[in-house]
Amino acid sequence: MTVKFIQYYDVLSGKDEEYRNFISKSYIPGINETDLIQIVGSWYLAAGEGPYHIMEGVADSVKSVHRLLLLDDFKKLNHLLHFLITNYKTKIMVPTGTVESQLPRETNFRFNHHYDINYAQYDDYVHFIHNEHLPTMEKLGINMIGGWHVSLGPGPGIVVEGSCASVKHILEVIGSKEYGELTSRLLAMVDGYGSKILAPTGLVP
Amino acid sequence: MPVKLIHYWNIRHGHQTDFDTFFVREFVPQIDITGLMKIVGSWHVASGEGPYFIAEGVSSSVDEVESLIMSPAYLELRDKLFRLVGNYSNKLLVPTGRISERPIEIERGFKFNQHFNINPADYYAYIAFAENEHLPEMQRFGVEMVGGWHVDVGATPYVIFEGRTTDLSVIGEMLENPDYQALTLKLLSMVSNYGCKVLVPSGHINK
Repeated sequence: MTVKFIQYYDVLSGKDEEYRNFISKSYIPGINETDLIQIVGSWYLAAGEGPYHIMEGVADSVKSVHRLLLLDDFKKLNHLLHFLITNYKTKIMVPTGTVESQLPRETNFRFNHHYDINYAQYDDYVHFIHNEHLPTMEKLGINMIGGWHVSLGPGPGIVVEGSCASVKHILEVIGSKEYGELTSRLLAMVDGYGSKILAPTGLVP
Repeated sequence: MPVKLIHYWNIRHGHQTDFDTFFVREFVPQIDITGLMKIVGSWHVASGEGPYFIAEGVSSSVDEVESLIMSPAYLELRDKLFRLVGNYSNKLLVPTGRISERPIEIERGFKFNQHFNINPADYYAYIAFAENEHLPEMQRFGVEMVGGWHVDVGATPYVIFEGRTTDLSVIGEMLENPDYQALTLKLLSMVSNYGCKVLVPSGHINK
């Protein structure tokens, strides 16, 4: 079962160049060498709430993530990272099972939604996601590449990941009547709704 | 000096129709008729954090806002609103003075708003950056900068810049542009708690 380890942070003022060097030459290679997690994405926030930087790692189990977190090499790397960043937080996410997790190979932008399910309407929500939300998003040109429960870390508890070749297309979707109606229906079943548009930093090859 | 009162809320589950009717037929016209404030926009947060619904009113002064919010008619409207919405909050915004004042009229198009706190140590560098780089560059990307505000009353972040376009694809192109990323990284070196929102008209008053 693929799980995701997501790190969020802001780079300290004046440390941007040092940060980019450290991340690309030490941090990402150092984590990837452990074989416990692969860093598959490094994103900046194009629209939404901060922190501004998001690092995306995938592992084959929650156990692998925990083994990484306990490694001395990782602790050293993270200690060094903290000289360059602030507002650090992490999440471990496990699949909801509603979307088959995919990692796009080509350069892509993300359009992610997050919310808590209103459990009084759980059955309606599941039906809506399977039969309307995911198919409509795909029809609008957003590839739905992941549905996740936040297993550990701050909420909201559900993250649904969409991927697209251009932000311009995401904005076209956002402006469409179909998307507006779809979101209104989703909002009737969830709380704490928000979304983010993420763009690649170019730090992950 | 025009000031802005922004309301944020989520419509309660199952109350969408009642809300739509109340907002269009009572909330907006009854506030407008007081002459103390004009509701200039209602928006959905298309990208960014909730609450999902944003309503904006503009008054000519803080005194007028105070007169409105203490009036029995407004309190009655607010009580009715609270039966239909949750997660309500509001902010009173005053202009930073860095963007020309505009006539008080319905706002149309799409909005791209950025919000943040200025690092105290970087205040003067930020002022120079905002005037000489940030605002001119945003205009160059095709986003018209229509408002610069301090949060006078309400939750931080306490600086809000409002950009507007008639075409969402302009915002999309800007967000993909490496020059925009470089501009944002420079802004981030002077501010904290940065975030931004893409707003689309809710369809109630500014279709």
